Amino acid sequence: MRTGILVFPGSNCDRDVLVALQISSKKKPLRIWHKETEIPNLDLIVIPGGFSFGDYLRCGSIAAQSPIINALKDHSSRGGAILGICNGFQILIETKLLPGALITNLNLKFICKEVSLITQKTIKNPFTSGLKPGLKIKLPIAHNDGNYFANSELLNKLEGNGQIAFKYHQSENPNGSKNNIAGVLSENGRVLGMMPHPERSITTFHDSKDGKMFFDLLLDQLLG
Amino acid sequence: MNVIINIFPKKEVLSPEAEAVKKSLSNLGFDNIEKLSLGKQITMTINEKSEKNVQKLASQMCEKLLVNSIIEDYKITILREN
Repeated sequence: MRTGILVFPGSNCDRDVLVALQISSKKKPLRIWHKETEIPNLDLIVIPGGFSFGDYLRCGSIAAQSPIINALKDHSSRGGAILGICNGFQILIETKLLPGALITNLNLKFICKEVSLITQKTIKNPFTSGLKPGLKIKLPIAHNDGNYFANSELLNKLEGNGQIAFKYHQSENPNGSKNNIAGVLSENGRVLGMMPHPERSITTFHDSKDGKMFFDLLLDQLLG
Repeated sequence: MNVIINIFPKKEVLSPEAEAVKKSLSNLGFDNIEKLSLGKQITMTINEKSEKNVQKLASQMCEKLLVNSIIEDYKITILREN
C-alpha cells in the first residue's frame, strides 16, 4: 500500500493526515511538494486541509494551478484514488476533478465543531463502500467556505448517480450546503472530496475514532 | 491598455456576504434596497496595443483562473487610453 500527501504553501493538515495514514497503512506516506511535476505510482493521494496560498481569489483556486496538478490529473485518469479533505476538497473542485462549488458558510462564520454525518447509498467507491448507508458517524469540521453549491440540474444528477458520499444530519447542516451535502464523489467513484476531517478523529484523545474507522476501511478497500 | 474585470455571483447563487451587507444597510435605514450584489473588481494594465488581443487575453484569464463559472459571471471593460 503506497500513499502520498500533496503539500502546498499554507497546507496545515498534512502532518495529521500523515499520522492517520501511517497508523492505518503501517507504512509512511510520501509527502509531495506542489512544485513537483511527477507522482510515482500510488494507491491513494490525499490533499490535506489548510489555507493553500492564503485562499486568495477563491479557496483552492491558486493551488489548482500548481505544477503538481497535471500529475494529479494523470493519476486520476489512470483510475487512481484521490481524497481531498476541507481545503483539499476545495482544490479538487477548482481543478474540476469534482463537480459543483464551495462558497462562504451561510452564517458567515468560521465553524469548528464536531458534526454528525450520514453515509449515503453510492456508486461503488473505495472510500465509503465499507460503511453501511444510513450509518451515523461523527467527525469534526473546521472551515469558512464549506457551503456546497450546485444548480438543481447538477444536484439531481449527483443524487441520481449516487455521487453523494456524506450528508450532514438534516437537523444540523452547519454551513448551508445544498441537500446537506458534506462529501461528493467523482462520476467513476475514485475521487472523494469532503469538508469534515477524518484525520482529526483517530485516537482516544480525539472525541471520536470514526476517522480511524474511515481510513482503515478505505485502505482495506484499496488493497481489495 | 487598462482593463477592468468585474466578477459577480450568478443570480441563482445566494451570497451570504451580500445578504449581510443588505441587512446592515437596512439597519441604517436604507430599507428600500430590492437587490444587492457583492462581487470583485480586478484592474490591470496589459502590455498590448490591440483591443481585440486584450479582450482575448482577459477572457482567457477569466476562464483559466479569475472566475469560477459555476458560481460567477464576469464582464470585461477595456479602457481606451487618452
